[in-house]
Amino acid sequence: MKKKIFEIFKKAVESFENLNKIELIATFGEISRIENSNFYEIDSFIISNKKVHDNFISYLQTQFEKENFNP
Amino acid sequence: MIILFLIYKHNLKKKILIHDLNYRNLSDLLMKEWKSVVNNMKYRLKILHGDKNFPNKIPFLKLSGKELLQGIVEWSQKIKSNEEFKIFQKYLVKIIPKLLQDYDYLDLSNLKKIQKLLNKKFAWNKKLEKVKDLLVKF
Repeated sequence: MKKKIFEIFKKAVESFENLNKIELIATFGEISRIENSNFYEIDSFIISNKKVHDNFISYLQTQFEKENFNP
Repeated sequence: MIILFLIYKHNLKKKILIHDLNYRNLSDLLMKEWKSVVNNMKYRLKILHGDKNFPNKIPFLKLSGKELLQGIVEWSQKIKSNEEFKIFQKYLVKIIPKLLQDYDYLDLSNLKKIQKLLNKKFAWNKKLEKVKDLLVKF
């Protein structure tokens, strides 16, 4: 599941239409699972202005939803 | 600033929490984050877009044992239940080896004692008190 989450994140980066407006996108640390739950966590690190950043996060959200995020 | 985005649908079994870190540039990052977080970023960023050399541009910030462990000390003082302690203990097990590796110029022998302590089996509240005692000695 962690690998799948990373791949979704990576594909979202590659397909984001305003990628050239973002200076840097990274993940920070490891994807982790909250114990005894269905929650996973990922740290997203972005260098850009706030507007483009918000657009990317919104896009990222739709990409996770599209993947149905259900193994 | 950390903004948390919770992405979910009611019919989905899996959910993801995105800890969302946004900066205007390196100076903005250095101004906003704790020194220990900056150092952690230096070693643990995985670049997907942009300057792959960026982590090397982040300065390593020297800090004291007290500065390094401030967040952990504050967290330890807020724990009120076994469940909370389990989460804290899991975090310590994960973070202590990284701290010992990244801050080898500091005397972190008490962290090694905490590591040993966490492997022992006894009441969580007594274990917490011993961990707190060792943390305040930094």
